[in-house]
Amino acid sequence: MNNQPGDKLLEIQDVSTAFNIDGKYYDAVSDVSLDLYKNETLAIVGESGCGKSTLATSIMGLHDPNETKVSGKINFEGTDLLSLTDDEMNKYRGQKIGMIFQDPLSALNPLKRVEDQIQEVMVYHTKMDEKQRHARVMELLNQVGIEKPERIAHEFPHELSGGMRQRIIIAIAIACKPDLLIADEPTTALDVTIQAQILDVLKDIQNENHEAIILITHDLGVVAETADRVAVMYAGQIVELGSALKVFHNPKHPYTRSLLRSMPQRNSENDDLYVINGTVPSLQKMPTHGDRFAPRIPWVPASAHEENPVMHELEPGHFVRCTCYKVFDFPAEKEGAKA
Amino acid sequence: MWKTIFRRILIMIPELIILSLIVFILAKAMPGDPFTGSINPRSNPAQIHHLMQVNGLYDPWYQQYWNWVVHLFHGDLGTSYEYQEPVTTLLMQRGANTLWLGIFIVIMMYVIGLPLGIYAGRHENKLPDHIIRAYTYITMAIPLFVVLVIGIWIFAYGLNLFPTSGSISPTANGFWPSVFSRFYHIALPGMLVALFSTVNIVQYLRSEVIDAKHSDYVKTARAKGVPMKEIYRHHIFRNSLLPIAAFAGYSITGVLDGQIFAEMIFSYPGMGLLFLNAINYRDYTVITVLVLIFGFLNLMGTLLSDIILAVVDPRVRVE
Amino acid sequence: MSLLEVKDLEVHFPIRGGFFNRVKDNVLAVDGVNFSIEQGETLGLVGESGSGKSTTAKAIIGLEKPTAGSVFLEGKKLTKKSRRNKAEMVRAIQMIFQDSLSSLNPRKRIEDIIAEPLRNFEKLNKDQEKIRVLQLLDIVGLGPDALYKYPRRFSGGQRQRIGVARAVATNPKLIIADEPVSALDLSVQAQVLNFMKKIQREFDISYLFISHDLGVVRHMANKIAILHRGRIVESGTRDDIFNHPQHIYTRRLLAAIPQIDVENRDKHKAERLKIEHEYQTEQSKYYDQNGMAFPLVQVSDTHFVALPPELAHQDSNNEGAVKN
Repeated sequence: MNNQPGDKLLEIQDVSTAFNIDGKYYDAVSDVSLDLYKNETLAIVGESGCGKSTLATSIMGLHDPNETKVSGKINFEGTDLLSLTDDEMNKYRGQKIGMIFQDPLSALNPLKRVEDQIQEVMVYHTKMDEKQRHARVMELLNQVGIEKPERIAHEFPHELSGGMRQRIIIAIAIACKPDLLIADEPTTALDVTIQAQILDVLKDIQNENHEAIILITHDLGVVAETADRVAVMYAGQIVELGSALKVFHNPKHPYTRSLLRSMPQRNSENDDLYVINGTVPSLQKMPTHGDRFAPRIPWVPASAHEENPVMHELEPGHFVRCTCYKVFDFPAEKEGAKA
Repeated sequence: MWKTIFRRILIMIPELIILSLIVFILAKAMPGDPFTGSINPRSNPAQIHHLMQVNGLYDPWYQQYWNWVVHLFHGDLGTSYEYQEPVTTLLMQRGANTLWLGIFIVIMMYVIGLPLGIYAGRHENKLPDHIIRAYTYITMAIPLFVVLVIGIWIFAYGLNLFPTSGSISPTANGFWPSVFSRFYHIALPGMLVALFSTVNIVQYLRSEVIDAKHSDYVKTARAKGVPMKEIYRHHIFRNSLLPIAAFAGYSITGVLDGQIFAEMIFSYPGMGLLFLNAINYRDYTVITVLVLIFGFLNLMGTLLSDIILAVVDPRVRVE
Repeated sequence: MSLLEVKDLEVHFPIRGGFFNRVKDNVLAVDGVNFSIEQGETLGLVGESGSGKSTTAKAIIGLEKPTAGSVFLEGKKLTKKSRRNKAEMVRAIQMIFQDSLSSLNPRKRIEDIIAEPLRNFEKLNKDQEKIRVLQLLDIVGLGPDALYKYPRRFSGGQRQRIGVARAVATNPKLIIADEPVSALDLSVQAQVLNFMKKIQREFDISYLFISHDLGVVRHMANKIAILHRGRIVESGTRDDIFNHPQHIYTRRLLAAIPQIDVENRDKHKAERLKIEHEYQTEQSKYYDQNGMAFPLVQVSDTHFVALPPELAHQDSNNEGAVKN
């Protein structure tokens, strides 16, 4: 909202990602379609197993082709990333698309100095010499808010705090000024105060470089603080998509509403929290027909669901899957505590 | 770091004293004595009695131990009963032979083991991996002495490709001929021991490579757009070789084990053969010194491993 | 008399070094922590990583040896080493851990996992034991089919509920919950928190609820203590902490919590940056020269703040300056 959305950067069309489990392929992401515009932050939110990280790694092409099948189209600046070979894809990874990972300690090579790890990405994508790369490293460390870049650059990852490490990861991801930054749970392993700083750093970088950010997180608070648009995922599908304002202030899909309702709220400390019926189905048990969320709202009559739920545009830019949102309401309060 | 190394070496002194005590007592506790073995019908019992007395073998063990320690500090390791030579002289000759063979085995072990381990890890669960693992299981299952006996039978006696005993040919004169002759003598026992001792290196390296392959920092490197070939070079191999490097110190002990068999079967005049003979003939002076040397090498190996680890892994600080 | 009273608790970890490995310095993991928990009440212990919150819990149940201070359960000192005392304490104080997979023995069936504390403390025959285990499973919403399964077969939320059932088995007076829902998804977290509250109502159990998540703590705890660098910087009721925070650290922590309020997020961010700036510039005022918090000063019946001596006197009527 703070940013003027630019041109379309990324077009995800009917992307499905299936994993090989004991010889059979199961969809972790099924038929996801999504557009991303320059200079915007799109949050993909959902609980573990909903496919949000799988979608991100599919865009990056990080899946092992022997174990994973990715189908559909991922158009990035006019090129279908899924049609590229691994070598061709390497020209995009790190240069046009940067990625930030959840655990900043394990994401850094423990045996290499910070400077070498940041320089590495420039070695493969630029013609800079050692001296220029060093200068760029200093510039980057400044940009991610590290005060003594010369000293930090010389350290090993284990000598830094969690927040510092995540800044290094960000520096690596933005080293070549990518057009797209994918941040997969970038603050989950961090304390709240550090989380706030890291989110600020990401915002500041966006204001400078105008890249698009895909922010993957399970934390609704983080989404509400940073995202321009939100995609809510459940069981491999997007169930609701819209501006942050719409999704948080006028959520439509039963899953979105349930999630928001199960958060501990201010001034309701004496009430039980809302609990969603049942559990997320495992990959092998994913229903192939009908509304995947239907088993978790059993009081909604079957007739309210679509046979093959599709996205409906309620208002410009606000989409909801299935028609069941029209009749959905929460059961009476006393039901809330039941497992 | 130097402080720590110095401290570790200081700690080794009491360890070695305790080891020497134990060895001394155990050696004395063995039935028999150094002279009974050489009795023949013409031996005079009184003379043996005299020899025992002269050599102080009737003294209480602590007296003998004390004498031994006093001599040790004068650089006198005693005289071998069997060879009638100062132990120091014996060690000089035998030690050099053992060193030659040992170094050869260690080098060959790594030359064979490293590429196999890396290759197996890189092509996890593919055909080459299965073959390499089968090789390590087979070598692990067959006892080394069996391999050596079969090896000497086929290659030395049968095909006549290698000598059956000794460390150097008496006719080898000059630098190059003698180097070649030494190598000719250690090639077969060395190769056989090395080939059948790689299981630890291969299996360990393989699982390190597989772990590294699936690590998050490799994912980061992929996300940087680094080609997979380069990732193997700069990230995976480097990181998985690290524990192997540290393992080198410990491997000294393992090599000594295999070497004793090799020296026995190939009649290679090294410390291992010396040790076995010393036990047979109750050559106390030699036994004690050799066990002490093996113990010392063992402790040094452990220290060496810790030092290597501290040098190559920035996360480990020797403090 | 309080159910649990922690007095001047200190846990210091020595840093060794030099040629003879002598103690050079100490890490003050916990440095003079005082609090008490009443029967049936929940105290929320909040802090960031390294604040000493888990060390405090470990010191209470004896997994960590306190350097100084004492812990009283119903007036009886726990830090003494007597054996009988220990058995009693183990029974009265149970713990729930963050990582439910590693805290449940993977080779034991759920029946045995839950029955284990029963077997240690109660003489029940087979049938009685089974009935009791079924009751406990029922309390946390799991059916009898769970009895013969292994922990791996359950989801994170179910495992955490099994952990709760096990903790409740011996009718403890106090349950220490160390980040019990941090590894769980939102909807599963709700379920576990509901069961914890239900058990508290039914059995009048007290909780020491340790978490870094202020939203969860607000929901669970009526009294809250904020821990920073091994000392409590502020403690009070839910209202005291959330509506009238006084210590700069508490205010900084509260400001950093992401809010579900898209319309006002710029305002919220500005407020957070203001407090962050204040924290950076005025930090020295709130901590002594060693960077440690000052002793707690009482500012109201329930509200204690680690204020420096010069601020302590004038500040008591200045509260409520920050609301968010």
